Amino acid sequence: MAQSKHAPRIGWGRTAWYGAEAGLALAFLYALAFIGYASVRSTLNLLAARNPDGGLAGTLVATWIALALPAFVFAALAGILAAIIGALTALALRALLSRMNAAHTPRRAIAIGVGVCLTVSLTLLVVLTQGLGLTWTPVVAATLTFWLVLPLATYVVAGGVASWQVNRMMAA
Amino acid sequence: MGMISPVISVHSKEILGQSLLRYRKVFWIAIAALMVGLSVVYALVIRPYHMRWGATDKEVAMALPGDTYIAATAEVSTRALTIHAPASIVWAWLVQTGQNRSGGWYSYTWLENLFASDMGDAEQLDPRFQHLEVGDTIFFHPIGATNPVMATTVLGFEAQRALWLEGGWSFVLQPISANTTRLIVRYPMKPDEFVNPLLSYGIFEPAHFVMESGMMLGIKRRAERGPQLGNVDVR
Repeated sequence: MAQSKHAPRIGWGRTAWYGAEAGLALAFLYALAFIGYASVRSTLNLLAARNPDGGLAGTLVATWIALALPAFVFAALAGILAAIIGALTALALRALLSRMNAAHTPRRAIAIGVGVCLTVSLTLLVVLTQGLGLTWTPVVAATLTFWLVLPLATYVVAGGVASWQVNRMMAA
Repeated sequence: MGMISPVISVHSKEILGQSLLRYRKVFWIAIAALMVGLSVVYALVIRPYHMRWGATDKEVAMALPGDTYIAATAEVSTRALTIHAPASIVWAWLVQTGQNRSGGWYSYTWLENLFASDMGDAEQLDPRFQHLEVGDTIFFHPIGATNPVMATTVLGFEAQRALWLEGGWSFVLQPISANTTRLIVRYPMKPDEFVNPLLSYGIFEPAHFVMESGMMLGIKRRAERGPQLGNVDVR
């Protein structure tokens, strides 16, 4: 009886699918955030330039679109990796929630999600710094922030939200 | 109120949870529409515009010194800009270009440095980098020292008139008057420049427009600042 009461309504396959979808969606959202940031900064640069022969309005629009297209293409490619990570994380969360949150407490679910993603993120950072010798220097500060710190921060926050969602579906 | 708040809280969470799933389709349709729309606008409007950004028909048709090095399969971009400064000053900025020379390409430094390019602002003319030799290597990135993809080679130059680099990338200065110079830049877009044609078309080409037009505007901004040669020898 107790087992049927807590039997999750969301199966393993659907959990993995939602996780993959969330990973891909986050890759595109990150690209959109980049496009917004890059468009504002390039606009400020172009407004400071004097009379480009291509016309300021045309140059601005062409620059925005020329920034957006590669960002989207790259997001679609990076999204494959993000989808795999998302699916694996969602499966791990579902397994942990079944074992560690039988009462389906939302706060506990969020803590589990954040904890799992934080552990994965810190492990990756340790591997990169200790194993591959990656060091934080002024030269690579912007690079690491853009390609590592912000994506991992997004991953940790998304892990909390995803865990809460999976927990909600399991409790339904 | 004490009774209502938890009810609202639970209800809000439920709505948020449902919304995340309900708006999935809307999100993916929006992303797909955006990608298709961007690709169509880029192919039909932006690409034809940026492949000859600022250039006249005559400039697009004219022969440039690096043309003999351009591969038959390449599709060239020809971009041009009027700079209100003498050719000698524009040349002084052009000739010191490079991550391993003045420390920059005068383009979007904040964007280049997202790729560990270690680019500086290069706001000063530097006498140490005013002389080029055929065969000199110019870095796009610090790893240009070990990775030839991240560097280019000087194939030839005519002081204060033209510089042409590996693959036929040409920079030509045409004096219009004593204080006005036309900067014409031609770049050969090879279909497989960036791993394969699709990625070249979707990533490299538009990115190259952003960086090259940024570089040309960067040279213009610096050259138009006024007298600045000081002890720099620009012969």
